[in-house]
Amino acid sequence: MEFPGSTATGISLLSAVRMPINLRLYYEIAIRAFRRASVYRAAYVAGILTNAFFAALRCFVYLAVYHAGTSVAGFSPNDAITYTWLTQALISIGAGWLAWDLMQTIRSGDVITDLSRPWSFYGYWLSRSLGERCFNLLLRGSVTYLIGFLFFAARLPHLTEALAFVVAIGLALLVSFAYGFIVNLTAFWLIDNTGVMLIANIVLTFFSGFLLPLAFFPPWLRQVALLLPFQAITSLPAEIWLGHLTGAAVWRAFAVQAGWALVLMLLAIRMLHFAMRKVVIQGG
Amino acid sequence: MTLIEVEHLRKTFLLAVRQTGRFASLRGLLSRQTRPVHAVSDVSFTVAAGELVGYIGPNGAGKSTTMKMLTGILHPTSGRIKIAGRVPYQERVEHVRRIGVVFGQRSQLWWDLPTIESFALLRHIYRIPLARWQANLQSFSTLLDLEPFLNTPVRQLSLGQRMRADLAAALLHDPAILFLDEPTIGLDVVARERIREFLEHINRENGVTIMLTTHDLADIERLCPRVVLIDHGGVVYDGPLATLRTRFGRWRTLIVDLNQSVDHVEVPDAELLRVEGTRVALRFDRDRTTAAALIAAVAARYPIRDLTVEEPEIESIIRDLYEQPGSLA
Ligand SMILES: Nc1ncnc2c1ncn2[C@@H]1O[C@H](COP(=O)(O)OP(=O)(O)OP(=O)(O)O)[C@@H](O)[C@H]1O
Ligand SMILES: [Mg+2]
Repeated sequence: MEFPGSTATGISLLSAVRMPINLRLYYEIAIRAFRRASVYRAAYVAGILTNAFFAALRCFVYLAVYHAGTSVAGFSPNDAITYTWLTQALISIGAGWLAWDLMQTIRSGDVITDLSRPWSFYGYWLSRSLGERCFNLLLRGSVTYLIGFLFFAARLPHLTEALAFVVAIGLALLVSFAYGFIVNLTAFWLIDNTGVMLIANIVLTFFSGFLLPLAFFPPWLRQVALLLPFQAITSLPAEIWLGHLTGAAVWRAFAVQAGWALVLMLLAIRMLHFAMRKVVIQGG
Repeated sequence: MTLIEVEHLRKTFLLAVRQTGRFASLRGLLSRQTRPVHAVSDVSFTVAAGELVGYIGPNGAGKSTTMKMLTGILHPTSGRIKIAGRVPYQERVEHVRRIGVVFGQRSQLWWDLPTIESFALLRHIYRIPLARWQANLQSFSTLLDLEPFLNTPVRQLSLGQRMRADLAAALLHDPAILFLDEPTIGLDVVARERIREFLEHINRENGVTIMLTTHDLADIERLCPRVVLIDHGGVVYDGPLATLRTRFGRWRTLIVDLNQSVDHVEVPDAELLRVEGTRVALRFDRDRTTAAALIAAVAARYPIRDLTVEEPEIESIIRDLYEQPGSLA
């Protein structure tokens, strides 16, 4: 894997090729981010409980509106329950929530340290994010889902579905990271970009299918959602988990995800390039 | 050998002007009125390899802004910087590989992890050979007494410990130049002294070129043979500290011990500061009279037993300079 991000330095993509990629470094960054996420036990226990609470709440709504044995837009009651627990389990890896950490370093001016390193700034944040989210997935995500499995009979997929899901999650992480990076980066221009972050978060929550499966959208709105990158973050992995996508459809989903991952990453790096040119570091 | 060259460096920030009146925020969105702030207006100097230079000036003079441009994080509005043959903001990666940076108010350490973890990551960031890294860590641990808290999470360190760890972190990769922006801020006397000793050591023994800003003049007196003094974004003095004293310290104090006690002394061109029994302190302007002339004038009136001429404290000179920027021309 390559991080074409020495653009962080205002140098073109070419220099990333000239400069040998220090893969070991990005691995070491990810490991530390993983360890750091594991430091705050109270935080992740609270996170699991909150996610499970809202998952249960959302399930009770579904159970109330579903008539026994019926299915809505291709979703059986169990599908709806599974979808709910899955998306709640994926919150901590970006399914319905944007990370604010990069934006905070820009506002405080601490970004100065990360900018004065001989590394790809994009690669650094990507590794950090992947390390942290791996921890979240392994602990927060799986425990949350386990609760859904035990108390609400949320579905467990077959082996092939599970494997496809792992690939889809990997791609989803790349898409959600790039999107979050772009949104966070607006802090370089706006200083107070909380408004942008909030709106970006609502857009993500809605169009990714986190709040409601895209299948439940009115057709025209669904068409809009399918043209946007957000389905790659939540909806596509979830549909694979549910077994709604099989065979060629799975490969098509991967292609859509990979395409958005690439497009957003290039966009993010481009934007970083501009940010660097007008960079203003806050504070003495 | 010249290591750092700075010519007519300038950085202008554009500050958004807040609109007032009706629909202020809406109009603010439509047309962004800006006001220029000249953080650095014209700074030139050169630094030779192995120098230890104090970059000083009052609050808001433009010190941190200069430092940020030297480290390559900020693009100058105009002017030229060349460090070790490179333009910092153009060849940033190559540049930052060879410099160390400490911004006193910030930390480059991972807040939630044991200190040693950040040091270990630095080995990978700068691709420091293991043996080299171990040797440096060993040496800095001894010099800065890092051992006791290597395994403590950074967030639990005291400010003095954190600053020591940050200094070590900035030097693990053997940088040729070290940029320090207020490295002793907020530290007690003992911690400051320890850091000064360390900086002196790495400058002398390891040949690291150091540029530092500080508001603690004891740092300067102790460490910096040369100071660059800036104010309002421009250099107002560049040279040895001693010369700063002679050039700008116009006021001298003549202290004479007389044979008998007096209650008043009157001599031309001097101002009576105090009389304590037989001891009299007179202040004079070096530009208007000389110590010799003044001593002669006093001796003509009162028999003198002993005398000393006091040079002004560097602190008071700088304070005078800061308070009346016009006095520098
Ligand atoms: N990001 C910025 N945007 C706008 N103005 C800025 C910015 N950074 C600095 N300035 C202005 O530039 C001037 C110089 O600031 P700088 O931080 O370089 O001063 P300094 O010499 O480091 O001061 P101090 O001793 O207080 O740290 C100040 O007037 C400051 O308000
Ligand atoms: Mg400053």
